[in-house]
Amino acid sequence: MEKEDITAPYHRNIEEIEKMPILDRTMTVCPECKLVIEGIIYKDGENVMIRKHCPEHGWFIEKYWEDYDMYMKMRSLNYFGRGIDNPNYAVTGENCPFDCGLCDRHKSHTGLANVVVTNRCHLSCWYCFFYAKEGEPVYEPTLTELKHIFKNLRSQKPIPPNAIQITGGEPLLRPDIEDIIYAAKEAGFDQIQLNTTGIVLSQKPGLAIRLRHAGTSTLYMSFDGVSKRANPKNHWEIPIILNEARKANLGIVLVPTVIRGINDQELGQIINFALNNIDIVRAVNFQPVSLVGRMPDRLREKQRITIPGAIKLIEEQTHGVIAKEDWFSVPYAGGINKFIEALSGEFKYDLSIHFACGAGTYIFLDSDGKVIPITRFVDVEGLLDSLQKAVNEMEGKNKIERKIIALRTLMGIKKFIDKNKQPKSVNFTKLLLSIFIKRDFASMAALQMKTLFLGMMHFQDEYTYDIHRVEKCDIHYAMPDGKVLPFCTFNVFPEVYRDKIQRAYSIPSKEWEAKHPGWTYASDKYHRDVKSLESNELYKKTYLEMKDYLGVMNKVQMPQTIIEKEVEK
Amino acid sequence: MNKEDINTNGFLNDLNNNEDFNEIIEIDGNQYRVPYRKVKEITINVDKKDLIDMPHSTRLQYRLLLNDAILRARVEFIKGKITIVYNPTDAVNRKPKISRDEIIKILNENGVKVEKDKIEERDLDYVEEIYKKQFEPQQIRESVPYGYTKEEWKKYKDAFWSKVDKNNKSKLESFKEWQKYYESQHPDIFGTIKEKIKLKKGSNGKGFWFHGI
Ligand code: SF4
Ligand code: SF4
Ligand SMILES: [Zn+2]
Repeated sequence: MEKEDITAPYHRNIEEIEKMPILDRTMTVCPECKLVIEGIIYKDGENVMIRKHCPEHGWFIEKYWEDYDMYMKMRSLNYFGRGIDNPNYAVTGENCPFDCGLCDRHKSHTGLANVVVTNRCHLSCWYCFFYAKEGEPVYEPTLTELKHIFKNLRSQKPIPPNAIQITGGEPLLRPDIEDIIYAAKEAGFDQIQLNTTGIVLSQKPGLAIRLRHAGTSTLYMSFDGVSKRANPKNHWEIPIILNEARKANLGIVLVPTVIRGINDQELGQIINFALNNIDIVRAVNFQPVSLVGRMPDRLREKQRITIPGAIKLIEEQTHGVIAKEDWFSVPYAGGINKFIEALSGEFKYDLSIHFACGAGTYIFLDSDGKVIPITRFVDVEGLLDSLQKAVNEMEGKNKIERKIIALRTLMGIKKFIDKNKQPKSVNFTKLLLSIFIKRDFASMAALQMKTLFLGMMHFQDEYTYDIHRVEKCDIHYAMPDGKVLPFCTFNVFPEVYRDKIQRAYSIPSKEWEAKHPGWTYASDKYHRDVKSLESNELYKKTYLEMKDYLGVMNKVQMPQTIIEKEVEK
Repeated sequence: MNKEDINTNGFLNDLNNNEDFNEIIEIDGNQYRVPYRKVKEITINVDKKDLIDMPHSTRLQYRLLLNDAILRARVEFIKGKITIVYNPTDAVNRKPKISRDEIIKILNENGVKVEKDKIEERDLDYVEEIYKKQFEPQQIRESVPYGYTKEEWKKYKDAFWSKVDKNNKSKLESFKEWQKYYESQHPDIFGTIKEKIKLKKGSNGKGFWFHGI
């Protein structure tokens, strides 16, 4: 059968669509007027789609998940978290998503807290609406104000977040960035990510070391592809950044935004690039693009890619080394934490986001250069199922009975691990037991040196919007007015959240300029010297001497992309 | 903010009129920028029919919030009640302002009739009643660990929380130790350190990266 055009599911008539099997119903918004309307999730061939109808603006059809089988598999492990006991805005939340937040109804505690430390940026990406442009107010909370925000986050009950991402703008434009990071450490955050282009690190030798010293755990760094075409943002600086991070022993998470037709041909290459730098790259976190704001329908349909869409491309590009069966959704990991909690009686992190929001897997680079996804030697589903059964069984039992159930479960772990297939360099059963029994996460951290975490998160936009997802969101922005906002309300409705609040708490440009004599909007900007960067030895070594672990190199060059055209302009 | 916004909401005028207004407040010796002081809250009882249904009430709330001078809006369909906190025209601050009549106009435009005698209005101290409360939220319920009953939890929760406190303190101490070690590894940046520093097990300052997001 001839393959259908990928945009075909958008263009069927509604009578035909209404006959398709319904998988779920949720609440969503009209992209035009934000009326809360029903979203019907249905099966269209192998795609899972969402349709909605606004009485004023008609039908909207969007891809929800581009794989029916994965959708069915992942949704079986969805669960509700507990929310927080002391919500910052204690309203009931019946007007979700406009009652943030966090309101009384929200279902997940903050898993990763985002804190914006500036809206100044040294780049001016054409698609970005966020950074302060000429004459606009500057949003830059003082260190004291940031401490206030950190403390607010850490007072969340019963589970305060222990992971934070310092973000911007470009956070490295702040001269006091080290103090900010140390303040987050002092506030009790264990995992401090710095969201940066990394470019400043390439300009200031030694800064990476000082940032690591201050408490930075990882750089969370945009990386849209291996080629110049796919990654005009920081392609040329990456080799120097990696080198600086290496000297500092500062881990890196590569963060590609995946856009169909723009950089989707390089997903395998990106993973291969990460494997080549596995001593310092801890993870690749793919973000299928969120198409917020207005754009022509045709373009949206063409550029749309969802989590399974990206996963299938990875399978194709890596020739099945990393296949779609190797991925699991984030709430899977919640099952492990629940087990530890039920066993120890101590609150553990909940990973209770919606299954459609995020997926991940671990891959191991074995001593012989073979790449092995965790699922090839661990029956993850079987393992989680047995842990969940134990949690249920432990309910209401006394301490001794609980211990017996746990012990029996742990004894059974062996059967979920295929010793013959596990990487030669790891004993996985031993590792899991030491996590469960001694709660020794250090061994896990050591293991991470030979592993690469592959993650995906598909941030929402008005078209894909699903209130069942956002009410469970655990990626939150902490605001200067004391509110805590889910990522996918903060960024999807900036007019009532992000921009509105930051505008209120910004410093008028005149005042900012008066306080920073000599500073101008232009003086923040970065100017690239391509020639000198390309002639750098590190550049050649990084890009030209890569090993091909996945059979992904020498792929056809990409056609000129929209981004590149813009850059040329 | 684009130019039109600046003009329509009188932002520039506010900026000029209240040039001397100091946004900085002090709490426990710390200074914070807070843009509002005295603001107003109105509560309006309306006909539920005008609100149509819950989704339309939610959208009305969104439409109210679109206005920078409306700091909070709640449209409660079930109670037929609208509560709005706004920055009134006579407030002394540098932010966009709105009058009660303008708010009523927005409601009317959205099909909600407002009877003057069904409006209650009060002054509200933004710092005390909003800002501080959002930074020190009340506990409204108490969760218990999975698989435990409230009774069981009651017995050991104090011990649990004091253990958490202790852990937090020792975490920072071991991080500081790790810092010293790290300094000794990078004399080019931190200068030469004479004493020999060994890294204690577990104090690698790395934290456990698990979330993947
Ligand atoms: S997204 Fe969460 S915090 Fe926001 S209104 Fe919905 S439930 Fe409340
Ligand atoms: S940020 Fe968006 S995509 Fe991620 S968990 Fe929250 S709602 Fe889901
Ligand atoms: Zn509409």
